[in-house]
Amino acid sequence: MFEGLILFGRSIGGFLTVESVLWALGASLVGVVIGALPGLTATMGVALMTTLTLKMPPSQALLVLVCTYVGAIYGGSRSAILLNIPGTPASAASCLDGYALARQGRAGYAMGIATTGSVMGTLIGMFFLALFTPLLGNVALKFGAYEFFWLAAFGVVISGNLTGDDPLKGWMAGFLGLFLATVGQESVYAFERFTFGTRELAGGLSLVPALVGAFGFAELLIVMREKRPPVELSPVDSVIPRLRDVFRYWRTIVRSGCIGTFIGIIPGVGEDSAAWTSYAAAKRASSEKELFGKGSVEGLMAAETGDNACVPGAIIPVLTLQIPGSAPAAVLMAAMLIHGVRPGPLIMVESPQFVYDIITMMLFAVIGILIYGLVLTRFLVQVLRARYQVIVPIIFVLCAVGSFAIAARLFDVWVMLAFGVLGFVLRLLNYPMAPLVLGLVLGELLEKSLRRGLVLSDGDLTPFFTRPISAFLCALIVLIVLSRFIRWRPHENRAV
Amino acid sequence: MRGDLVQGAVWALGGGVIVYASWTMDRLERHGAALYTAPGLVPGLLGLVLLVLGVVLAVRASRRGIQAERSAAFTWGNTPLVLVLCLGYAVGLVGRVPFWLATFVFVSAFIAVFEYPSRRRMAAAPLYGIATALAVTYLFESVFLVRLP
Repeated sequence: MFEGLILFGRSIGGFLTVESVLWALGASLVGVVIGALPGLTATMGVALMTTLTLKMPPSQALLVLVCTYVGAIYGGSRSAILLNIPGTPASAASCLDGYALARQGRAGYAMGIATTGSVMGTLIGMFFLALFTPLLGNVALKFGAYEFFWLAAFGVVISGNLTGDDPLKGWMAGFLGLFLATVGQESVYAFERFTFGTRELAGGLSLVPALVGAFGFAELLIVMREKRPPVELSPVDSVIPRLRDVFRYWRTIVRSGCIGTFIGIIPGVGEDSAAWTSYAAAKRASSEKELFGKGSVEGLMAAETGDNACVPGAIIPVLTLQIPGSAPAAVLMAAMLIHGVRPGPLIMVESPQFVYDIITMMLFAVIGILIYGLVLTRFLVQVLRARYQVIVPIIFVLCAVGSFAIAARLFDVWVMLAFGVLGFVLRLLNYPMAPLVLGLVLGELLEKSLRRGLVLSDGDLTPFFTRPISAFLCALIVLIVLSRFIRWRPHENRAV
Repeated sequence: MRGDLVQGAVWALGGGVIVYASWTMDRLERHGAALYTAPGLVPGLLGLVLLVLGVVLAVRASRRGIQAERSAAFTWGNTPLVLVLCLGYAVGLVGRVPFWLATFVFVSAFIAVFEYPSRRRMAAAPLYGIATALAVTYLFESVFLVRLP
């Protein structure tokens, strides 16, 4: 315990420089702006910033990315409250009561509640990040190739199951991602697969350009598909959060923080599920159920606390298992690998300081969103009036340059374009993107683990099913899949 | 759910192609590779899963029969125009003309096209174009120390 506090103190000391503080505040602001603009998501923000921070020292680059991530999830609440349009999918639940409060002339108060919830949620998530990472790290040390194979498969299956409207399409997107990760030279014999003689494909599809395409370019295509009507904003009253709201709804805050963190830990599920689950739990437990959907402060607090608590939660499996808990966390993990940071089961053995560095980065992000939530309300309101006709070409330029910057190859720009079009088409056909990203990120782990496991057992499949953790994960996957197949009986009207 | 029926068929076909390509892939037996270390093993299995899921999607769609489409009618909207402009920039201009010029032309053209018919906003398009070109060039070359295409 004291060792953790010492490491945390050392991290804060290390990051308390003018340069780091400025980067943190700047990145939080970029995140808040990206999150506030409907159509631009946290994943896109983190992917874009990854390409901009390539030449920075790893600690500074990750500080920028973590602050962008936290800022974007928080920023989504602005447009949810003022426009009834979630800035990011994570803020969809905040529309229900946030916009209702704005219609009652309490938009500023609602934004204050969102700021309070976001700050408290992130702080609770940070607490669990510090608490669970060493514990999960110890469990992860028991994982071998067999367990990692099932864990990668579980990540894709659970992500497909819980994101989007249709688990079947979620699984398809996930397995497509896993397949795309096999393009290029395989790791044992350096044999080229599905490269069609293209030299640039031999090294595989570059992850960051693919993610920038799937989330950046694809989102721009979605945003520009139809003309948006002129923005009509609700008037804003005082945004100063009241301390008594924290005391009054402390149970909701703690419950939503725990739910958000736990959902964050589940691979590939993400902030939107955390917000909805927290909201539903708050409604069930509330003594003012009738107010939910009509301007419930408790509902808004629950949604905002849940989605922001999910951010540290999603980073826990990244640090301990190399399995991202959400789509933005998948991009963050890719950025860590680019910067030579290798998260995984040995993190608490080899570099425990790094875990506390991440917690410190989140603390900086929390300070950033607190400042912007209180001070920059008028500016953020103006951001919502920004014209997409102007923003979109500028962001596309950044997508193209950022993709090029990874390896100074024009081919990576084409990869970005191809994934952008693929992501656009899949979205239109109702395929969720999070499983696709998770598949791309986990593909290497899945293949490496399967082949290593088979080599260790000399081709015997038994250990994949008899080792306790493997058997548990396998059973879990079978249960998830079977439960969905049973729901697909034609006599049921409910959409799955 | 005709859309899902077609999509299921496309997925199943794609999965089948992957399985075939993986099956016929060099198994490197001359290098001592066993079946379970063959390069085509994992993509083949993934292709098989995609094939099965595609079939399930198609079967589910056909069982649901004439159930009303839930999703709204598909419209392309501005997408073709956005695609032409973006592809024109990324494939046609970047790497062929100086980066700042390519960016200036793209941003100016994009804004002018989508601000039409507002003359005042169209007139501002070149200003946005030059500002973006200069800012991005400076930011990447001088601050992030990245070589531009």
